[in-house]
Amino acid sequence: MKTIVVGIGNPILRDDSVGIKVVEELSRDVDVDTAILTTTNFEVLDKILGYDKAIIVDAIQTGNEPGTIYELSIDDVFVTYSFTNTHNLTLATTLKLGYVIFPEKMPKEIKLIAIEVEDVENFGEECTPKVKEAIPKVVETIKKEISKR
Amino acid sequence: MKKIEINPITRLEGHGKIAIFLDESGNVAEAFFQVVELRGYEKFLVGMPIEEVPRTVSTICGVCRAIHHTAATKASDQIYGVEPTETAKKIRELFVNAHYVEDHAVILYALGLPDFVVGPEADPAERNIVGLVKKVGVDVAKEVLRKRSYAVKILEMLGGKPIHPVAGLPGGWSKRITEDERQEIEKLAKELVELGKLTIQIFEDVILKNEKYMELITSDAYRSVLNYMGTIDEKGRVNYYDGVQKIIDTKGNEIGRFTGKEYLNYIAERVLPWSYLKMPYLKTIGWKGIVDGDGTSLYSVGPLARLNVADGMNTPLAQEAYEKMFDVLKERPIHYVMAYHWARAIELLNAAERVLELAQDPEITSPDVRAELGEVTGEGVGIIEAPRGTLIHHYKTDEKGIVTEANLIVATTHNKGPITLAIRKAAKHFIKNGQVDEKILNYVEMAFRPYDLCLACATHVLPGRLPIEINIYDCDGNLYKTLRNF
Repeated sequence: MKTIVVGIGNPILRDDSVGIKVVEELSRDVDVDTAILTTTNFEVLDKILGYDKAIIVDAIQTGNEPGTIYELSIDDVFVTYSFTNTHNLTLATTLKLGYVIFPEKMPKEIKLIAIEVEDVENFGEECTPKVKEAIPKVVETIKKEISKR
Repeated sequence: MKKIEINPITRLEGHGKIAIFLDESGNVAEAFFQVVELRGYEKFLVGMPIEEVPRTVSTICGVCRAIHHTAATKASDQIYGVEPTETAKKIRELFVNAHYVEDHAVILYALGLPDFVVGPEADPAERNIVGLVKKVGVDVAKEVLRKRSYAVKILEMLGGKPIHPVAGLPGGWSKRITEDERQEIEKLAKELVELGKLTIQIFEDVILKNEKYMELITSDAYRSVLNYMGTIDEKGRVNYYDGVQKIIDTKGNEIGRFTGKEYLNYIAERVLPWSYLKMPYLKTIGWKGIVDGDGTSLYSVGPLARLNVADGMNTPLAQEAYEKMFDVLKERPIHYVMAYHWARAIELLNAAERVLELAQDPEITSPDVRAELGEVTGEGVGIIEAPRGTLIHHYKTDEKGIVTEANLIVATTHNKGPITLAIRKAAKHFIKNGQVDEKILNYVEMAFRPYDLCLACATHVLPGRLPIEINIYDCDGNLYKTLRNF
């Protein structure tokens, strides 16, 4: 199964960088296609079209304990009654759109892994401690996920 | 691991908040727009060597990375007292124009056009890009998405790193374009021009030919009489990478022109009591309040502002489209806020044509991409037109080129006055006698969507929406109703 792991975030906005850090760490010891993105708009489709499976790692903020790891489906994060966002497309909207426009090329399976964040408002390259601790755990989860193929 | 239900209420603080105040008869007395910006970015840059700054600022905003990178690179030229080589300037311009094609395509197709094509009063579940795809057809959408990905490919080819561009250096660009790459860019650019033509076509077919939408564009609810600012080249035409900033008044008369540090002579910022954000205005006119009309000191930036200040476009097809817009809307400058979307379509075509022209320029493959650095001057101002409007990066450094002060003015900051005004006007138009329903949320959102706000664009944490809350207060200041898009 052709798989890609995509990390999304901002590398200098503290915990928002967690998706990127996971992918960087993963690609150091696993031979898998990876991509890093800083937006959730059409560029996500540029990266995942043509793959059988996509694992997307992003930060999430729900108010739970920082460092909590969630495995989600597209519908879990598809929460809005209106898609329109004034500046950016949401990840869920982009993925849903992908299935409408490129049904044959979209991955049959998309897994979203989200890490609860604490600080995404201050600039800095380091994650907060609890979020940092979650990184190796997420990397292990993805390794298991990949080995299923 | 656990499975959760996402509660979409995220961080309202840090995002958009609109307060609307009603008078005794339930009509709108005042409306304010508040944003809380991300903290500490400028401080983060202090202590960094200036040549590191372009690579770092490309991460401020995932959407506008190419633009922040280029603006900081231009500032670093000045700090090192160096004029980039002609080829380096052309590569940078190519890079910026490729970014325009990508960014304008996303804004138009995902955020702007759905309001028109699907209709402003359509169910929100339909009034979105998926609804748009249903209307224009999957094949057209496929074409649009495929072609815009070519612009991303060009950006990646030139930027030096797939996501965050790193190629801009003081005095030039770190890598030359090989003949093979040039040919590839030329091939992709031809497709981008087709995307530009298609976009103008869609705009004309679905909007210009529809009387109802034209009424909406020219409605008083979405008309703000303002001053405008944008970059022009030596022939007075729109330019995104470099030139002179020109400011015109509400009637189109020139107020002034500036480059570099002279921005301080023209732009001042007003601290407002209801917001701890500052609102820029034209210093030469003096603060007149958040009002439009002749004599106002508010100015707007972005696609429509650029077309308003310029005498034309620097490519043939865009020039035709430019003339048509002014002919159809029958005013100059154009004050219809919804025309921002039209101007954006014209600029998309213009940027695509410019990418092609530059790809065909014999000088573009020259190895002469970097000039010798001069003495550290200690100060540099990089001004560039971001897709959303004028972007200013101003740095001061010590004698070794280490940043001691940074000041960034982004497009959304320039547009703060016009955005507040647009919201106020839409609210006044659509809220009458205390009657407030959910539809007004979209009509109000429509008023600021043309400006394509970039509030907290550095972050896009899931669920990824920009929450907007509208609080409506009665004449005694009591909360009367709250509307939310989350």
